[in-house]
This record gives sequence, structure tokens and C-alpha cells, in this order.
Amino acid sequence: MTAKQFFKSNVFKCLITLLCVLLVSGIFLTIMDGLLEVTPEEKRNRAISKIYGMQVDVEELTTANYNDSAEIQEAYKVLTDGNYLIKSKGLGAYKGGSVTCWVVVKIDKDKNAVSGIGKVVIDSNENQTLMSQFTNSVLDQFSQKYNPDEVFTNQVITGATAVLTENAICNSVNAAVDYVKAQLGDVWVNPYEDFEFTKYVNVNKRTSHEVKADGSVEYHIVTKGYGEASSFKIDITVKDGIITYYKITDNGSTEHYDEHMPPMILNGELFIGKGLDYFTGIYGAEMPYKAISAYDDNNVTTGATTDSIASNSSYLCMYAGAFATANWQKCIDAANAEPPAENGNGGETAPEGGEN
Amino acid sequence: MNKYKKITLDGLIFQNPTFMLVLGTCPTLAMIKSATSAVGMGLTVVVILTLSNIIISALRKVIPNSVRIPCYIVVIATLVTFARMFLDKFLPDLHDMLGGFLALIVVNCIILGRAEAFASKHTVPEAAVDGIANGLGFTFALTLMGIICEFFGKGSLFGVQIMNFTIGMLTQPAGAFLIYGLSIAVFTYVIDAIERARRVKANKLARKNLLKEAA
Repeated sequence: MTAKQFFKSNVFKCLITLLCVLLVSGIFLTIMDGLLEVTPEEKRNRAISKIYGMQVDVEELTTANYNDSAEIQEAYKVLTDGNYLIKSKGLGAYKGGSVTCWVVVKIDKDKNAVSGIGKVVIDSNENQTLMSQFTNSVLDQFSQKYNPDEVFTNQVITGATAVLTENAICNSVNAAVDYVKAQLGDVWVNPYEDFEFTKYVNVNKRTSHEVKADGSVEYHIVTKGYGEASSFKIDITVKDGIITYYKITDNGSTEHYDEHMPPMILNGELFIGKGLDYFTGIYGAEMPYKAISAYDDNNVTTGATTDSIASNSSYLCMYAGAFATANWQKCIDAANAEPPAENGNGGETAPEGGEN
Repeated sequence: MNKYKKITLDGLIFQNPTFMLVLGTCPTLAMIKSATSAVGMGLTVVVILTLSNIIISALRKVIPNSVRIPCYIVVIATLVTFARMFLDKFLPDLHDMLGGFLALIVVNCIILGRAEAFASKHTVPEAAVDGIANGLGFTFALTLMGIICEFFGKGSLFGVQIMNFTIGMLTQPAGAFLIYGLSIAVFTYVIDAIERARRVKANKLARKNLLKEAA
């Protein structure tokens, strides 16, 4: 076929027709995209009216994180009623994912303080599979059960069995409240500010400790997640730098990997009588993650699988032990520096008798 | 019968795309859970079907036969994309309600089917009337089934709660299938009865004329 024949052929006609249709469609859509673009401001206003149920005027605020279990993504002050509308991404969900929520934080204008939670609406999530459990009746509990002296936890919010996802939602709401409190001048002082090994310990009002009259420190540690292992709750007692009590009260393993963990870690026996040297001896001074197969301790590896995901769970348990043993003296020093308190973070119980 | 009247009646009743031709089943089953979403989907299809018929009819002598299907699909996809942008800008609630099924209109058999079977062989005014009629026929079918499913499934009509008695299954895909099947059965029975009555009437008239002539 010559060039002339080609240009006169049906094939060329078909090609040209198709190209012209595509070109015209493309140009049309490009023009329409420009004319019908939904601006980020419009999207924001739509989200806000959906949450508030009506169009309101808002003032955009600078975001800041006062809680490392969540990220504040957007923050607005509602000019109509003085409340705050916060978009907060709660971390520590199932499989290391997150849940992003819009939280309406109500303000008592007279007291210039947070008076409650107006509404919680789930915006999006990463890797969560049981979001359908979080119905309006579950989310409404944040409004009903707000307590200015307590944070939201899985024990406070009921009705959903997806504990890890609920954990992330609670982190999201707690972070929103912390942000608003900070805006009002009520910045929470972290008692674990200069403590060691806090990277995988949730020090934002979740972890607490008590200094006993006998000089021992009783920790109630809530870890963060690591890999696919989620948050653990562990009670540890340390005296003179040595662990005298260790109990896992809430196992954060997912996908039944708690069954792969070394029995001596699960029942806490491994940790009794151990100090910081034991943990840093296995992991190194900075406690970086190590798979369980690298443990040079038959007590640990006996009865365990070498599955690396169970190693994540074991790592969190070991990390909690390192945190407890590394900081016991700081807890005692902080308690001695403060006036005695009955409860709460860093509080000291009344001595049984004699001098403290 | 006037040709436009025939095109309209065929699209609305005698060749109804949902009940008679059983086209567009996917969006039908997805959208009949509520009357509002059914109307929303139906009206969107009316607009897209009419515009695609007009454009394809206008280009019918230009598009070569061997590339007609890709050209039709490009045209339909462009219209659907435009519809998505328009709804997202001006009717975001409807856009959210239709969800993923808005994009699926591109592969809705009704639109490609009418483009191929009618618009490519008729004039622009005829194609436009066909598009409107088939679109309204689709809307009517969806709305009717949406009303039934919502009323008996949720006890409400267009979002307004009417009664407390509900049959939960009718808001599920299985229930939608059931209502769809029953609707097709009832509709075809009624149309058959009308056609039969027409034929009987025509036969009577023909016999009468024959006898007159013989006399």
C-alpha cells in the first residue's frame, strides 16, 4: 500500500475519526473540569455542614499535636457558637492502621473550658475491617460519657468488639480534646517528658505509676503498637531497679499471635528478678527491634515459634520492662519533689507508718 | 400512528428497557432500596441517554462502521464524566447517593443498546425522543420498584416514615431481586393483556369491514 492509498483507505478514516472524537472529548472535559472544579474550601464547608447539620462560619486554626497517639489534621473554631471542630487521625488501630474522625468539642464560654463532646463523625480509616460496628449509638457515647478528669478508653466506650479500632477512635477524640484545651491555655504537662524508652509507651494519660511506701514503683503501662501487634496493657512493679511483679492485663496481639508468644513472656515469669541490663543486653542500649529468633536465651525461645509477627508482641513486652526498670528512680525523685497526692500519675501513697 | 408517538410509547411501555428488555439490571437492583435514589439514578440516565443519542445520531454519517462501538463508548464516557463533575459541584448529595453506580452508567446496556439499535439509524429529533422516552421508562420502572421496596422494607416513602411495620429482606439485594422479578411478571402480563385486547379489536374491525365489502 502506498502512502496515498493509505490516506484514502478506510483504516485511516477510522483512525482519524477516533482521534478526533478523543480530542474533542478531552478538550471538553478539560474545560469542564476547570469550570466545575470543587475547591478544597467547598469540600471543607460541605464536610462541616454535614457534621453540624447546617452551614456555619469557621475560623481556621494552626494545627499542633499535643498527643503522639494521634495527629491533628485540621482545626476550626466555629464562630457561631464558639465550639471547636477538629479533624483528628487516631493511631494505634488494627494492623497499625488509623481512624480519622471529625470531633466537635464544646466550650463553656463563661469558664473558658471544654464542657463536653458535641459529636464524633468518622471520616476515613486505614486497614480497618469492622467499621460497621461503630454506629451512631456507639459514637454518641463520647458525648454522653465525657469526663474532664478522664480520657476515653475501650472500657468507657462500649458496644463494639473491634477493640483496636475503638482504641484509635478514642485516641482521635482524646487528641482533639487535648488540642482544644491547649488552645484555651490548659496544656497538659507530660510527667514522662524526660523519661527513657518512651517511643513505644503511650505516655499520654494512659500510662501511670504509683510510688509505694516501701520504695517500689507500681507501673500501669499502656504500650503503643509495633508492626501488626497493637497496644499492650502491662502492670509492672520495680524495686531497686529489679522487676518484682509483671502481668499482662491486656494482650495486644492480633490474628491469634498471642498463641505464638513465648510462655515465659506471656505469664511474666521471664521478667521477675530482671533489671535494665537484661533488656539492653538482648536488644542493645537503644532497644531497637529484634526478631525473637535472635534471642540468646533458651528460656525465651523454648516453646515459642520463630514467627516474626509474634516477635512484635514480645518486643513490646520487653520494651515495657525496659521502660519500667530504666525510670524507676525518676519516679521516686518526682514523687519526693511533689506534695503527696492520693491518686494519678506520679502520685505517692501515704506511708504506712514512720517516716517516708 | 405518528412516529414520535410510537417511539415514545415504545420507550415508556411496550419496549420498556427495565421490564420488557431487562436491560440495566445492575443499577436497577442497587438503587431500588429507596425511592429517592431510584429517582436520582433514573433522571441522571434520562439526561445522559438523551444527550448520547443526540450526539451519536448527529455523528452517525461521520463515524465509520468498524469503529462505531469505541466511538460510542468514548461519547458516553465523556457525558458520564461531565455528569459526575456537574453533580459533584451542584448536587453533592445526589452524587454521594449514587456513589460508584454513577460511573457504571458508562456500561449501562440501555445507553449503549439504544445508541447502537436506534440513534445510529435515525435522525436527531427521533433519537432525542427515543432517549427521553427510554430514560423516562427506566425512571418509571425504578421509581415504582423503589417505592415498593422502601415502603415495605423500611416503612417510609421518599425518606418520610409512614409506618413501623417493615420486611427487612426488601432492603437487601435478595429482596430487590424478588420485587424486580414480580414487577416484570406483572408488567408483561398487563402488556400482554393490552396487546391481546388490541388484536381482538383489530380482528373484529377487519371482519366487519370484510362483511361490509362482501355485502
